[in-house]
Amino acid sequence: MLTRNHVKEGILTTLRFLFGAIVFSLMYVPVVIIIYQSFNAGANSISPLSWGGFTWENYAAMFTNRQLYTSILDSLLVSLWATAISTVFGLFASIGIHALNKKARKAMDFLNEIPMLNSEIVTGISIMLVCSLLKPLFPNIFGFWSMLLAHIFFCVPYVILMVLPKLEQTDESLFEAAQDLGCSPWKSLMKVIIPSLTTAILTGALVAFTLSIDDFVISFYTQGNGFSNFSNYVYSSYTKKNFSAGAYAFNALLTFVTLGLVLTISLMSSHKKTKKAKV
Amino acid sequence: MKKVIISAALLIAFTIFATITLSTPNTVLYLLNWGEYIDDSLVQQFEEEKHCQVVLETVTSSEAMYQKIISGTTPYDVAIPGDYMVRKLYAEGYLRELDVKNTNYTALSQYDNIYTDSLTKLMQEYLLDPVTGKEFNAYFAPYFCGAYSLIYSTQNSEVDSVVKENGFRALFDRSLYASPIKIGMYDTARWMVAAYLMSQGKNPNMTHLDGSTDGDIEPALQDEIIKALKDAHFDEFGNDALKRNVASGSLDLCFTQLGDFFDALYLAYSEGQSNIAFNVSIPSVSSAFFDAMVVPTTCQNYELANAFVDFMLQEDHAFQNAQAIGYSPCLKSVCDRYHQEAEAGAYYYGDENTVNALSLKDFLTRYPMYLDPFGSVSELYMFEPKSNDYLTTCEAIFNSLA
Amino acid sequence: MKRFKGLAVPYFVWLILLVVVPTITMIVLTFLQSNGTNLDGAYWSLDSYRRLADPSILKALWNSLVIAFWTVLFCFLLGYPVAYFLSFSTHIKNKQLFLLLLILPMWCNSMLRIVSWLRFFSTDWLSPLNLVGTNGAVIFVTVTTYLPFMVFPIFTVLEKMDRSLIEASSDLGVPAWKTFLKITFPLSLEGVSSGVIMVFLPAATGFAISETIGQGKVRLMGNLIQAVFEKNNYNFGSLLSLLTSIVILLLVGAVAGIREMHKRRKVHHVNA
Repeated sequence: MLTRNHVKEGILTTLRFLFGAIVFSLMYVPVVIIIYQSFNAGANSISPLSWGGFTWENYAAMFTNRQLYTSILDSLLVSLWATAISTVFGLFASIGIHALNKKARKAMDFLNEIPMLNSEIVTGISIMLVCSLLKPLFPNIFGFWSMLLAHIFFCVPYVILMVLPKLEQTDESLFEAAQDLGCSPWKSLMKVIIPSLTTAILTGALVAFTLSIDDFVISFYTQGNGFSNFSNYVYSSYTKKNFSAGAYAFNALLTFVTLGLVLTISLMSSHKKTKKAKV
Repeated sequence: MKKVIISAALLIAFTIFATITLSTPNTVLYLLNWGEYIDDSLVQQFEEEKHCQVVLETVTSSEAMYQKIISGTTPYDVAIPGDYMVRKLYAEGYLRELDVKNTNYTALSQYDNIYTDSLTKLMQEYLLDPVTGKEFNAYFAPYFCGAYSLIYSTQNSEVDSVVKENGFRALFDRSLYASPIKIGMYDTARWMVAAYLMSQGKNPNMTHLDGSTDGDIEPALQDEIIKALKDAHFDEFGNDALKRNVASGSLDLCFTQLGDFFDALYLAYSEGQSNIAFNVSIPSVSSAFFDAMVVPTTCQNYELANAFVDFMLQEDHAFQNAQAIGYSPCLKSVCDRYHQEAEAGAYYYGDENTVNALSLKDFLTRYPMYLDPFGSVSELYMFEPKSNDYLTTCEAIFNSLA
Repeated sequence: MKRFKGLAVPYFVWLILLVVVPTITMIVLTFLQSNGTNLDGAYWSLDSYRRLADPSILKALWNSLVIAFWTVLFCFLLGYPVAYFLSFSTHIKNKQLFLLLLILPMWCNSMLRIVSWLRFFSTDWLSPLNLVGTNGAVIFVTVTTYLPFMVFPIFTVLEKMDRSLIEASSDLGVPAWKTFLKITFPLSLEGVSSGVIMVFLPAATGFAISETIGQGKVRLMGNLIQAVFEKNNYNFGSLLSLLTSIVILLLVGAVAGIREMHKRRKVHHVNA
C-alpha cells in the first residue's frame, strides 16, 4: 500500500516537474535565441537563425554602433530617473493616501488604478496630447522630458501598489512612540515609518524599473528630438539589414548579469540560512 | 539614508556619463528618412566635414513622415518624403524654399537641369502648385525614384511567364497558375488599393467606378477592392521582410518597389550566392514614385540643411549612395557615371578575385530598369490622393481583410 | 499619521492633469475634423462617428477580445498549475530562486523576444507550418510574453493562504481534489482575477505582437489606432482610443464586480 502510494506520488511529482519544465522552456526559447544570436556572425542573414560562425563582434557593436548605444543609454537614462522619481513620489503619495478618510481614500484608489487599467496605447497617446498642449510653453518637451513624464505616470501606481499595503500593516504606535520620545512628526516619519517600509519600497522600485526599461508602446508615442529607447530601436530597425546584432548582445549580457546576480544572492542567502541553522 | 545618498550619487554620475556620451556637437541635423535609405558612411563623411551630428529617425510611410513633421515632436532639418507628400507639405506651407540661388552649393544651384529627363517630365506633369499651377521645383530635390514592381522567385518556372504576361493581375488571380504559389503583399494600405486598380489596368487614384479621382473612394468601389483583396488570399503582409522572403524562396511573388529588388540582390551576392533565384518585373501599367529631400519649416539650421542637400546631390556622393542603397538614381550625372564605370570594367559586386562577382556591365544589361525604371511602362501613373479621408478609407479596407 | 493627508494632494493634482486633461482633449477631438492637433482650419463634424459604422472597426474590436480571451485562458491553464506547484511543493527548497527564474525572461527586452519568436517561426524547419500570420501564433507569443503576469498574483495569494484550512480538510478525509475545488481554488480567485486583468489588458490592446507575428493578417484595435494616428487622423484615432478604453473598463469592471460579489458572499458565509 505504502509503496503504491510512493510510486503514485513519484509519478505525480515527475509530471509536475515536467509541466513546470515545459512552461519554463516556453519562456526561455526566446532568451536562448537571443543568446545564440549574440554570438552568431550571421545574425542578420537572409535565412533566419542560420549559423554564420562564432563571433564576439556583436558585443563590440554595442559600443561602436551609434544608433544602438544611443538607444541603450536613452533607455537607461529614462528608466533610472523614472524609477527614482516614481519611487519617491509613490512613497509620499502612499503616505498621503494612507492618511485620507475613507471616502477620499476610495476616490484616490480608483484614480490610482486608471493608469494601470488604461491600455498602453491610450496612455501613450494621452501623454503625447498633453505634451502637444505644453509644447508652446516648452518647445523641447518631446524626447527625454515627455518620455520621463510618461514613464513616471505609469510607474507610480505600481510603487503605490507595493508600498500602501505594507503601510497599512505598520504599527501606528511606533509612530506615536517616536513622537513621545521627542521626535517631530516629520522626523518620526523619516526615521521610523519609512525605514520599516524598505522592502516594499525596493520591490516597488524594481517593478517600476522592469516596466520602464521594457516599455515600447508608451515610448513609441512620446519619443522625439532624436531621443528614443531600446524597444523602439528594435521595432524600427529589426527588418533592416543595418539592424545591429549588438542588440542581441546587449540583452544576452543583461541576462547573464541578472542571472549571475540572482544566483549569487540566492547562494548567499541559502548559505546564511544553513549557517544560522548550524548555530 | 546613506544608501539613498549613494544611489542618488550613482544616478547623477550615470546621468553625467550618459549626457557626455550622448552629447552632440553644437550643430545637429535632424534627418527624417525611410529605413535603409542612406549610405551610413556618407552621413559620417558629412558629419566630419561639417563638424556636426546627423540624428537620423526612420519611418515606414510618407504619411508617418507628414505626421511627424507637423506634430512638431522633433524640429527636422531635412526630410525625404514621397512625391505627393512633397506637394501636400508645400501646399500647406510646411516647406522652406531651398537656397538654390547660393552658388556656393555647386549642385543645388543647378537644380533645374540635373535630373534625368523622364523624372523632369514627371515633375512638370504632376508637381504643380495647386493655386498658381506653376512648378515649385526649388522646394525639393529628388533623391531616388522607381516604379511599383513585382519581385518573384524563379525557382518555379511558371511564375516568370505569368508575371510577365499579366502584370499586377498575377497578384490577384490564382487561376493563372497551375501550381499553388505563395504571394506577399506590401502592408501599406494605399499600395494594396493601387495594386488592385492597376491589375485591372485602371488609374490607381480612381475613387469612383466611373473613373473619376475626386474625394473619397465610393462604397461600391470599396466593396470591389475588398472582395478582390480578400479573394487574393495573400500569404503574407509585410514590408522590408517581403523581398528577403522572395530571395530566400519562402514566397514566390510579392508586390513592392523596384529598389527593394536591388537591395535584396546585393544582399544575396554579399552572402555568397551566385545563382540568383529571383527576378523583378515592372508591369506595363504601373506607377512611378520618387522621394525628395525637403527642408521643413521646423528646420533650425537652414544653412546646414542646405549643405546636406547639396552634399547628397554631388555626383560622387549621389553615385556612392545609389550603389549602397539600390534605388534608381535621379541625377543625369549619376546615370552617366554608371555607364562610364561599366565601360571601365567596374564591378557591381566583388572584384576579379571574387567567386560570385558580377560586373557592372552585366548588371546593366541584365537589369536595364535600374537606370530607366519607367522605360518599359506604357501607362505610367503617380499616386495623388485628393483627400485626407481617402487614406483613412484605405486603412479601413486593409482592416477589413483580417 | 493623519496629519500627512496633504501628501496625497500633489499626486491627486498629477492624476487629474494627466488623466482628465487628455481625456477631455480626446473627446473634443472626436467632434472635430482637424489636421492632427493643429486647429487651423478645423471645423466641427461628426465624420469620426460616422466612420464607426464601418464593419471593419467592430471586427477589429471583436478580434482583439477573442485573441485576448484565448491568451488569458492559456495563461491561466499554464500559469495556475505552475504557481500552485511552486507554492505547495515540498521538494523545492528555494522558491525565491524559481520565482526569479520566472522574472528573468522579462529582463530580456520584450520587443527583441517577439522578434526572436518571429525568426524562430521562419526557420527552415518551422516555416512549412506557416505559423507566421496566424491567430494561433499571435496568441502563442502573447501567452509566452505575459505568462508571468498570471503566475505572480496567483502565487502571492497562494502563499498568503491559511494552510490550516487545507490541513483540516485533509484531516477530515476529504479527497485532495475536492479540497482544491472547495477551498484552495475559491480562496485563490482574487489572485486569478488580478492575473486575468493584467494579462487581458496588454493582450487586447497591444500592437507590437499582432503587427510583428501577425504580419498584417491579424489586425487588432491597437493596430487600427496606431495606423489611424499615423495617417494624422487624430479625430477618428481619439474616438477609437476612447472606445477601446470604455470597452476595457467595462470588462475590467465586470471582473472586479464578480470578485467583489464573491468576497461579500465569503464574508456572509463566515458571518453565518
